[in-house]
Amino acid sequence: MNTSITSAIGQINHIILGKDRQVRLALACLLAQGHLLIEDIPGVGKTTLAHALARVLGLDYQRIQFTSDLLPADILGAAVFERESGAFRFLPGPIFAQLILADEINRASPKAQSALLEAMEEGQVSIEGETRPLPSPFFVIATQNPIDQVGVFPLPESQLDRFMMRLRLGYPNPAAERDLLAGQDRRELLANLQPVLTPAELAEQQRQVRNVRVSDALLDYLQAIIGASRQNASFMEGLSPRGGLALKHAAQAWAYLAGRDFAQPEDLQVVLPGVVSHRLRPAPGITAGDEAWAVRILLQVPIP
Amino acid sequence: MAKFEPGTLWLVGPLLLALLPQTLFLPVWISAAAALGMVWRISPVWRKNASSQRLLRLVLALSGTLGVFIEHHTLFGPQGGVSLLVLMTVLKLLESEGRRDHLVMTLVGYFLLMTTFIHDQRLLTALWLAVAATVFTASLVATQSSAPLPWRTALKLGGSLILQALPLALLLFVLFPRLHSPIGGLIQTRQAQTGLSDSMSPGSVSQLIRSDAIAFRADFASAGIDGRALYWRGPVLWQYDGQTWHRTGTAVEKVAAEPLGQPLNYTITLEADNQPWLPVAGLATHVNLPGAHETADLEWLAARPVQERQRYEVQAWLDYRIEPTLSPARRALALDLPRGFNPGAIALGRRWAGEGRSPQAIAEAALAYFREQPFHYTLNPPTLGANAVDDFLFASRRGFCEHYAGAFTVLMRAAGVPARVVTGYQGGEYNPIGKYWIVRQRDAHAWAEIWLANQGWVRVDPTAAVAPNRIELGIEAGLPDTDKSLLNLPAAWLQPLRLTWDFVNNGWNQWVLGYDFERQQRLLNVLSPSLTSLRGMLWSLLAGAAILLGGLSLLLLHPGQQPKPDRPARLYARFLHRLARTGLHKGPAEGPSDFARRAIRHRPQLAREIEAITSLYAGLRYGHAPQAQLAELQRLIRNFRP
Amino acid sequence: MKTRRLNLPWRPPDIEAGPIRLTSRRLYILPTRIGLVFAALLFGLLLASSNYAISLGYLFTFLLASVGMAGLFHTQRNLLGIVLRPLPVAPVFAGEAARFKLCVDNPDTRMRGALILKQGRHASAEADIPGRSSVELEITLTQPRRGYHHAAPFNLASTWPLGLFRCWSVFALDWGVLVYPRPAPDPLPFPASTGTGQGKAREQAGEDEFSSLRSYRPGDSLNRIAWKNVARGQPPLTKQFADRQGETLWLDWDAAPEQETEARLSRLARWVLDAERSGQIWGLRIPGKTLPPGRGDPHLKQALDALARHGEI
Repeated sequence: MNTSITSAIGQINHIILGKDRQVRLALACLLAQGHLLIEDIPGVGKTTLAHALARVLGLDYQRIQFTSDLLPADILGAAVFERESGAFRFLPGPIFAQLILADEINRASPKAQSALLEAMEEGQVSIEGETRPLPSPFFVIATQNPIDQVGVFPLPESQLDRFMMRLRLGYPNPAAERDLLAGQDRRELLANLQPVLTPAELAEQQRQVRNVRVSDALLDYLQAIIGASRQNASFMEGLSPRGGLALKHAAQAWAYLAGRDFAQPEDLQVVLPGVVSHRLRPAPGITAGDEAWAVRILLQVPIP
Repeated sequence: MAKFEPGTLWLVGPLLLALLPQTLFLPVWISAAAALGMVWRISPVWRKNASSQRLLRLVLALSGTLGVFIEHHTLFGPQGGVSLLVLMTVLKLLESEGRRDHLVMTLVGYFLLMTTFIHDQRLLTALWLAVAATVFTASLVATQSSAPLPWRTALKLGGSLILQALPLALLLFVLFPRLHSPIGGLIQTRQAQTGLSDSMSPGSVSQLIRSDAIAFRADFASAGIDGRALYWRGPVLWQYDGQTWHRTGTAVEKVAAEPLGQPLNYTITLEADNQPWLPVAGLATHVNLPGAHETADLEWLAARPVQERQRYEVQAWLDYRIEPTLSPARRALALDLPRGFNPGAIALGRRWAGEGRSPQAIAEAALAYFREQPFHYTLNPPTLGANAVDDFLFASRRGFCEHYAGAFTVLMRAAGVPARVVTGYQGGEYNPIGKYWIVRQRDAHAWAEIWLANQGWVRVDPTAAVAPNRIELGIEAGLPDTDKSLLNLPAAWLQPLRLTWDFVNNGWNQWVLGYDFERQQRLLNVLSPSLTSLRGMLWSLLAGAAILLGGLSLLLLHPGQQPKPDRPARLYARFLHRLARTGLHKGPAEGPSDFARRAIRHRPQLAREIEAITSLYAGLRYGHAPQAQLAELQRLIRNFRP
Repeated sequence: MKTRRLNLPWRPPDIEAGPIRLTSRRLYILPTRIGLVFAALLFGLLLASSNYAISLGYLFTFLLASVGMAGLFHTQRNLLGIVLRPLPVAPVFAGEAARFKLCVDNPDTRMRGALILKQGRHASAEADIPGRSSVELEITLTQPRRGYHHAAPFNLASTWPLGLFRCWSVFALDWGVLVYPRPAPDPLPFPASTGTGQGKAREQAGEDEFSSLRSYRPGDSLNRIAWKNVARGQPPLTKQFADRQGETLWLDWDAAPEQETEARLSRLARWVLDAERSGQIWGLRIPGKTLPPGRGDPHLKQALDALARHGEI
C-alpha cells in the first residue's frame, strides 16, 4: 500500500471527522478518474471535503458557485475584448483547474449545467470554435441540495450518469460531532494541510488503479449485477455500459486503496451504493421506499 | 428478388435422399418428373411466379394421376400407390413454403421412406434410408427454429434425436407382438435371381455357375461339419429327350427310406430364386417350412416358387438307404433312352453289359473311361451336335458337370443299370465369422445316381473322375486357369472383407428381415419363457419402455450444464461445505472476505485456517496468485476439519 | 409458509413477483395437431408393416415413434430452466399500445428454439435463445383506459424442435402498465393564474428572446456581441435575451371547463403536456394531490402519474 495515499486519508480524516468510508470512496472515485456528486444538506462538510482532497493531492482548486444566472461562459471562460489592443483574448474560466468544486449544481440553468458536464465528459472545452484541453488530472466534485424543490433544475438522468459516484455525507456521529465542536476551525486546518502527492505521482497512481486485476470470476459477478439491473421490472432502465465500467473502475480503486493488486466481490459491493443509486430509478408503479432500495436488490445477486 | 434460401434445400434435400432408392422401381417418367420438380423448386424461376402456378399444378396433378393409372392400371397398392404418392409429393413440394408445409412434407417423406421397403429391404438401403430419416428430422429441426439453424447444428440435433430414439425403437422391435402368419403375397418382389431349373441341357448349369449370387446359407448345429463334402439335392431328372433332361411327370407314392447312423441338424436360409426347390443334403425327415413337401426322389419343394428369403431347419441323415426295391414302372423309367440318339454311347453301354459285369463294375468302367481318356473339365465346351452324348464322349471330350452326369447316366441306362441325373449344389465357402456355409449359384452341380439291388439309389459323381479338385476344393480349384475368368471370382485379398460383409448381411437377413413370429418366439424363449405370451410381451414392453424413457428424461431433463466451476471455486466449495456442517453458512451474495470475518467471529479458534484459506482462494480466484498455490490451498482444505 | 399447490392449466395462476424459473411442475405438454397426424401416420405404417409383413417397416415405424417420444422430452427441455423476468413497461397514454417486454434468460449452454409469448390472441414474435444469453419477447397490448393495469396471465410456449408437441407455461406476473389519461384533442388556453402563486412576474436573463442591449462585460460570449456597433467603432454592446418566464402556471382541477372526471383528466393531461412544451414553470392541483411548480421531464412524469392514478384506491 502506498504510504502517501494512507497519509492522505489520515490527513483528510483529521478534518472531516467520522467519515472515513466517504473519504475513501471520494478518493477511490478520484483514483478511478471519475467525477463525484455529493448530495446533501448544506453544512455537512461537502466543500471542506472537496477542498481537503485538493490540498492533500496537491491539485489546484477552483470553486464555482452555481446560480440561476450563471452562464456557460462563466464556467468555461470567454474571449475578452481588450481595449488597449482592440482585440479579443481568451480568458480561461474557472473550469481550467485540476479540481473543480461545482457547488449547488442544480441551481444553475440546464445550459450552464451541460456546459460543465460536457467538459467533464470530454476532458476538453470548445469555445468559439476552438478546442482547449482541460488540465490533467481533472476532477469535478459537484454538490447538490436534495431538499430544495422550487426553482431548481434537477440534473437529468443522462447527466447524472456522468458522475461515477454519488455520495451522501450525512450528519457526523455524536463522538465526531463533539470533536468537531471542540476542535479547531476547519478552515485553519485546511490551510495547514500538506500535499502528499505531486500531480505526476497522482497520475501514476491512477494508472496503477487501472492495472488492478479484475478476474474472469469477478467479471462474471459484475455482469450478473448489471444483468440483474436490466432484467428487473422494478427498475425503469438498467445500468448503462458506462455505469458498468464505473462499477469496475471504482472497485479497482477500492481494492487499490485496500492495498490489493486485485479486486474481489467485496470491493464491488462496497462501491455499489455510490455508483448505482443515482443511475437507477424505480419503474412506474413501483414504490421505491428509501434510497438504498436499488442497492438492496442488487446486493442479493449471488456471487458466481 | 429471387433468392436461393437454405430453407428450400432443407425441403428438397431430404426428399432427394428418400427418392433415390425408389428410382430403381419407379417408372422412369415418374422419376424424371420428380427430378424436374425438385430442380424447378430450387431454381429462382419458381420463386418469381410461385403463386401463378396453381392452374399448372392442377393440370399436372390430373395428368399425373392419369399417367399412373395407365402405367399400373390402378392408383392403389404397392406399385400404383407409391407412384401416385411420389408424384403428389413433388407437386406438394412446388407449393410448399411455410413451416407448416414443411412439417407436412416431412411426414410424407417419412412415409415415402417406408414405401421403399416394399421393394428393397437390403442392409445398405436401410442404412441409406436411416440417413435420409436423420436428414428429414434435421430439416424439421432446422425449420422449426425461428432463425435458420446452421446445417451442422441441425444435423447434430437430428442425429442425436435418432440416436436417442434408437434404444426404444429396438425394444419395440424385439418385443412388439408379431402376427403368427403374415398375409403376405401382396407384394410382388423384383424378378428373382435364377436358380436351378427343372431341366438340364448342356450349358444350363455352366450358365448358372457364372453367377456370384448366393443360393443359400447353411448353418450346422454341430461344429466340424465340412459343408463342401455335402451334396445339396435339387431337382432329380429322369427323362431324357436326347438333348435335355427333365423331371418325371408322374407322381409316385412314397418310397421306402431308411436313415442310417446319426442325424445332422442344420438351418438353411434360402435366397429367393423364383424356384420351388429347397436344397437339402441327405435324407431329411423334417423340413420346418409351412407347405414344404418331399417327393419320392428326395426332392424338397416349397408350396410355391420362393420369392422371398426363406429359412428352414432340417434334420437329415447323410447315410441312408432309399427305394431298395424298384417298381417295374420306375425301373422302366430309369432305363428309358430316346430312340435314335447317341448310338455310340448305347453301343458302349451294351458292350459293358454284355461282358457280364455287375452294375458296380459297369459304373467303375464308365468312371475309368472318363479318367483314362483325355477328358477336360471346362466351362467353355464346344457346341455339340444332335447326338450330344456321342459327340462329347468320343469327339470333344470337353465338358462341364452336366455333360459328365448326363453322359454317365446315358451309359448306365444303355448298360441296363437304372440311373438318373441329380442337380443341386456342391461345395461352398465357410464364413469363419458367422460359422456358417455360403453356397452360391456358382456351386451348382449335377451328378448321377444309379440303382443297385438292395442298396437302392447310390450317388456317383462322374465329374470327380475328371476333376477331383472340383469336388474336394470347389469349383475354383476344379477349373483350368483359363476358365477362371468366367467365374466372376473376387480378388483374393477381398475375401475377408467379403466374408465379413456376408456375415453382416446374413445377420441382417436373419434378425431384422427374418424377425417374424417364430424368430420372436424363439428369441424370447431364450430370454425367458414367460415372455413368449402376449401378456408377457406387453408387460415387458411397457416396463422396458418406462425404463428407457425414464433414462432419456434423466439424460435430457437434468438441469442444464452449468459451466464447470474452476478449481479454486471447487475447492472453496468444499471448504464452505465443511463449515456449513458446523452451522456456518455463506450467503449467496456474501463475499469470501466478509464471510471469513463473520466465520472467525463465530469460530475464533479457526481464525488462522479460515484466514489462510480465504486469502489463498481470493488470490487464486481473483488475483495474480501463481497456480502453484493451488496445491497449498488443496492441502489446507484437505486438512481443514472444523 | 405458503403451501405449494399444483399448477393446473385451467386454474388461474397466482400472481408472482418474478423472476420465474420454469420448473417441470409449471410446464404442460400436449401434442400439436401435426403431432396427432404424425401419430395417425405411425399407426398406418404399423398396420402396413404387419399387413405386408415388412419386418423393416416395423423397425422404421418404431424408430419414428421413438423419435417422436425423444422429441417430447426435447420440447419440454426447451422450456425447462428458463428464467422469465418482466421488464418495466413504459407508461402510455390511453388508447396507445403498451409494450410488455419479457426478458427470457437461458442459463444453460444449449440453445432454446422458437419461443413465443402469448396472451389471448396476441402473440410476440418467435425467438431462439443461444446458450447462456437472453432475449426479450415483446407483446403489444392496446390500453383503452387510464390507471395502473395489471397484465392478465401470459403463456410462454414452444413446439421446438419437432413441432409435434407444444410445451407451455402459464404465469401471472406482478406486472402492469401505467396508462396516462388520453390528452384532450383540442387545445385550450391555459387557465388564468389564480393568484395563489408566488408569481411576481420577473424577467430572467435567459436565452430565448432578444430583449435589449447592455454594455459589454468581460466574460460575455462573443456570439452575443452586437458586432454592428463594433464595426461602427462604438464600444461593444452585448445583446440581452430573456426567457419567457411569466408567473408560475397553475393547472387546476377546477379550471378545466369539462365536468366529467375523465374528461377533466384528459384536459389536464393536455395542459400539462402543453405547459411543459412551452417552457414555463407549472404546478398541478387535483383533488388529493398538489404538485409544486417545476419543470422538466421528471416533473412532467410526476404530473401524468398523478393524473393516471387519480381516484385510485
